[in-house]
Amino acid sequence: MDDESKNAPLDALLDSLLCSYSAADPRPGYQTRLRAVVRERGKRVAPASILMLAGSAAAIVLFAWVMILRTDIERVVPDRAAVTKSIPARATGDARPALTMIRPAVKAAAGGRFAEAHKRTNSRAILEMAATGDGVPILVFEQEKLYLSSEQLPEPQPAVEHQAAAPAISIQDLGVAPIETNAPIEIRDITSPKSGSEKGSL
Amino acid sequence: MAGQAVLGETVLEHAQATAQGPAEVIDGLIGQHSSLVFRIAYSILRNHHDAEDAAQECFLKVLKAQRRLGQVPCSKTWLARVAWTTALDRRAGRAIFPGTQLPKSEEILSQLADGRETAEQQFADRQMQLVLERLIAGLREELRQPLELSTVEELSSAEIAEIMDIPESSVRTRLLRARRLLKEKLAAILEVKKHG
Repeated sequence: MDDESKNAPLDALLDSLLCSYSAADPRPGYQTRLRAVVRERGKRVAPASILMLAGSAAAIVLFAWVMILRTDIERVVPDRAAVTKSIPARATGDARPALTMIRPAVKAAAGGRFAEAHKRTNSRAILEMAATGDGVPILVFEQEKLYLSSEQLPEPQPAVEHQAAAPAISIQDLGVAPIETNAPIEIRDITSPKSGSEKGSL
Repeated sequence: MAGQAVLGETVLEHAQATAQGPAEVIDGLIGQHSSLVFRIAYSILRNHHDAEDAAQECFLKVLKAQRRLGQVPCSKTWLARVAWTTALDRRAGRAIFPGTQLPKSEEILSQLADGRETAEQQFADRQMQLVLERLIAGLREELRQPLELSTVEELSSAEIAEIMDIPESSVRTRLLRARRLLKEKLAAILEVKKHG
């Protein structure tokens, strides 16, 4: 009972303080100001939404255009056969760079579109052609430039024959009659690992 | 009362029934609930200017969310919730809690000019209000928030529960705990004042 009587004035004080805690009134003309602001902003809302719509539509169109462009770029890879056919025959002594010669061919094969963006593709086409070598001009690298050459490279000779011919030349130079032999010289495989018995002989 | 949502009828349905446009609906909401919105904002921000700005922001949010008016069953609690979150956001954006700031001279002068009480008494009341503000500011957020809303006389504990999205029993428990803490601190302060 004592506690209750002690707390009663404290409760009353707290109640009165809490009652007046939020008992505040806005300044005069508050509603008018609110209405004016809302009306003014309401007028701006419509153009803003239109702008947002226009912006999103533009973004969609841009995205679609980029996607179409990417698809076209992938599609316009030049046809190798067409490029090969349209490369002009190289005259003797004519040393035009290969890329210069091939670019119009690539452009023609790609329908003229985006050909400039395909320098890498041109290089790749040249390298592919050089790799297969099916009647395609050979690539020659001279003075830091890549050239086309219609001359065929000599067929690669077997290593055995090269090494067999070498002693005959040296013997002629020395004036010694060459030893006529048709038997190929045996070539030792020096890359094979040494056996344990050979270690001591050296 | 024009613009008031009947129970079970959304704000927009009511507006359609009375052939009102969105602007008129918001006008109606301003006319009906602007004081409530202001008091909620004031209970949190403790400053007239900030509370008015928050109320303005609240109604602008309502304007932006015109389409959602169709799903609002009760405009009062919905607006109160928008006002509450707006004011909380504003308070979070401030570095110092306003309860720790000194009252502005114009506010004190406006109270002194009232004339119903003596200047000394008004000053003492103002001091007590400041003490209470500081005590409330010192409460934990889970206790402070329902207490601040409970000081707005238009709001019942059920409405506070709906605004805060918690059960009504939790609101009551928190209010009791907050009041008990405030009483203890207030008693200690008064004791010190008496003996000091």
